[in-house]
Amino acid sequence: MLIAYEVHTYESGSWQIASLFDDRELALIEARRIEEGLRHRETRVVEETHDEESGRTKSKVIYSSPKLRAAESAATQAKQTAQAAKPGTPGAVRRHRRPRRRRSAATESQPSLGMIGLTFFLILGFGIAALIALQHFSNLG
Amino acid sequence: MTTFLSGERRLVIRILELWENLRGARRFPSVSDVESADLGAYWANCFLIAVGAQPELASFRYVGGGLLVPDWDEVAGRAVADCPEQTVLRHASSYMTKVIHKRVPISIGGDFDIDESRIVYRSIILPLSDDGTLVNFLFGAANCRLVAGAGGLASPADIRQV
Repeated sequence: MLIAYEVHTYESGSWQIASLFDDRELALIEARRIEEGLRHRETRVVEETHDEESGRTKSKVIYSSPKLRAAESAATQAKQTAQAAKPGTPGAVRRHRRPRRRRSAATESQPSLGMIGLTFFLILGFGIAALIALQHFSNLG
Repeated sequence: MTTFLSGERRLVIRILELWENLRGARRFPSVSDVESADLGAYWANCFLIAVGAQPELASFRYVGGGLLVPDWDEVAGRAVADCPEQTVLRHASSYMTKVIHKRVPISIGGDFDIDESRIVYRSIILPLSDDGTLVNFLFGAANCRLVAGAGGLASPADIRQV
């Protein structure tokens, strides 16, 4: 396992590698020295762990300038506030509920199959009754 | 004369501070910016390497008295590759190709045995450029101290605080 410590400085809108160390404490000393220097640049220290067997390298920020940490904290807070104001997110003041599925007007006006069947049998019943009645009255005449 | 602003007394941090002051807004300082007067007593622990088109043929331009190789009468022009094993200069210059490739200062420490003694060292190599693009010189520095008998263990703190 190989471990290296990269001291980064924030320049022209991006992070640049300023120096490399094999010692964590020296990297931290150098990062703080740059911060306190004439240019007061923001720094961070990245620990790079390289596993020779797997060939994988893991990077982890082990130090950020206090100014940078404050800015990141403010940005995180602003993001959380923005998320809280949005409906449908945890912590939102007004919880956005999923609307119930409602039948459309067209769906509501359509008769159900049961109603059609009942109407059919009613008409059939009345028809048969009318035929019987007609036959009965014709026999009387 | 360069004024060191930080109170840091470790050689590698001092050298980094000087390198940064020399480069100003440039990416690299040039070899002509490096003056022994700026370094005072630290100059004895410094070395300069001239890098040609082929880094494997790089040669020493200067080696301070604190890092001299016993068998070398003349240092200037000696190939870095010819530097004897088990010398601080050898260990301190062993990663110069990494500095040429990465184009940033690199500091490495370690330990090794000389005869019956264990030596710990801390070194740094910084890139220099005359045209601001091609790294054509390397500026290095190293110091060392005896910590134990041969085969003894040196802690990371020993190596850091050389």
